Amino acid sequence: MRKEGLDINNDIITVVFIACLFFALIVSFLIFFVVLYNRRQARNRREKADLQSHYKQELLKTQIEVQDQTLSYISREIHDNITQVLSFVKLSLGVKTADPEQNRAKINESRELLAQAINDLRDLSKSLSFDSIKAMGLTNTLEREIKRINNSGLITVTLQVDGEAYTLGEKRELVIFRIFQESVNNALKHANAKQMKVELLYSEKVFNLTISDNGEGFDTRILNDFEGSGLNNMLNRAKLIGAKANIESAVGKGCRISLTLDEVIQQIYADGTY
Amino acid sequence: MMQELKRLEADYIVYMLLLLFTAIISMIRYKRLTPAFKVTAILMPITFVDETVAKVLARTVHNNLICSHILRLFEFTLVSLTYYHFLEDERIKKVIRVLIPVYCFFVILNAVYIQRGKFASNSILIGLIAFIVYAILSYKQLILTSEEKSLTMQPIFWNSTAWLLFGSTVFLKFGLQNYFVAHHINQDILYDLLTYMNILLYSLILVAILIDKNEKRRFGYQ
Ligand SMILES: Nc1ncnc2c1ncn2[C@@H]1O[C@H](COP(=O)(O)OP(=O)(O)O)[C@@H](O)[C@H]1O
Ligand SMILES: [Mg+2]
Repeated sequence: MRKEGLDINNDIITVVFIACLFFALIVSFLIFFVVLYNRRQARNRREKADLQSHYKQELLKTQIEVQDQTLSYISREIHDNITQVLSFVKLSLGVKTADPEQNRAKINESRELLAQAINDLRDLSKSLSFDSIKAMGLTNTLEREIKRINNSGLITVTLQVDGEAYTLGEKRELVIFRIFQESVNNALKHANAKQMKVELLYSEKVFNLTISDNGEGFDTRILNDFEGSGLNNMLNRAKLIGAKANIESAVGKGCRISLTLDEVIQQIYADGTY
Repeated sequence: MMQELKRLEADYIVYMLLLLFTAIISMIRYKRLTPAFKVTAILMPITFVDETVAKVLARTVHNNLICSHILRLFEFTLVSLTYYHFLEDERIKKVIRVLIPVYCFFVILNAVYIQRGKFASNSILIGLIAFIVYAILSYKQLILTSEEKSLTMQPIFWNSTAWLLFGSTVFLKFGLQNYFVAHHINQDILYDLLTYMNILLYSLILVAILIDKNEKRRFGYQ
């Protein structure tokens, strides 16, 4: 009798031990899971912060590039146009003639030239405001820029806007404008293109931009060898604003750059910071 | 003896009140829940009604075991559907779609032939295996998807923890029960354990239903 009672006691201890072990196992599994989750979360947060600071830097660079290009255009314009006109006026006013009739004609001509210089300066001062994208929006800024390019006579650019334009957000529009600028640069510098076409499509869910030139084109495989060049910057920045960009070109076929912002891709970026 | 009965009654009352409370909260919050927890929310009043009917049958005809079989059908289907909504892996979804009718068929088979007039332990154990697997799969998904919410704000975490703890304890209970019977040990402790685990189960599900919120991600170009 005694012996059996002892056995049962021992058995109960074993059972309690097994039960405790079992619970310890489950609880440690849960604790392990919670720790793992929190660690992952911390890592994700860090990665996101890195990504955001990278995004900010890239935006800043984009802004500086846009400003750079505007400034170089302005300095060229001042040098090629306004300085020329003003020098001419200065010269022509410096030459004295006895004939009052001739003097009056000269003065009139100088006044007209001065008026033109004032006009040019006024236009330039408008270009100087770097915030034009913020103030006027993408389509208006593009329109003005294209008009200016066409006036230069280097290349003919046509702009086509389909759908009712809406704002894409200042940062996205800045990046898109920079992509346009770089495309024009490339078309002039590498392609010897005479014509460019810029098409914007605003549909309810999708925004699409296509820039094509009729120049010499190139083998897109070379893009893998370039690091941080204009075209690769385009692709990277498009990704940063949550867009899909595509560069199509072949020797003799011109070059076509397209960029798409659609709702599905944007969902990932819909946290307000983009 | 009387005292022990009283204690059991008190546990039971706590359990039923908790179940009733969870059922009411489920109905109140129903519209604001995500699809996954809408399904679990439906299970709560059904469980409450089933338990009430079981009590009434126990008092009147002294056999309520059919309730344990019937509840399995609802419980398995609705818990599976909760995870069907939550788990994103298409293969798992496919398996769940097949599992529900197969399991229900088994429950009916078991109720009519194998465990007729007995407690539905076969169905319960098999169902709980599935729930434990769901719980682990949902943990895995929580780890892999980079949600920014803290774990305690994720209703599925509470729900899975509820089923994981409950499921493993029930297995422990059945395992120990065989042992206790073989060695003539008093089983009261096991029934107490089960009641406590039931209370824990529905408390955790209540937490899940309280914190779940259907926020459709709004979207716009700034
Ligand atoms: N529109 C284009 N037409 C022809 N070739 C182009 C065009 N755009 C780019 N390329 C080629 O791709 C190369 C990379 O261009 P890009 O990334 O803009 O760098 P970068 O302009 O500084 O050379 C250029 O050197 C040029 O050979
Ligand atoms: Mg370039």
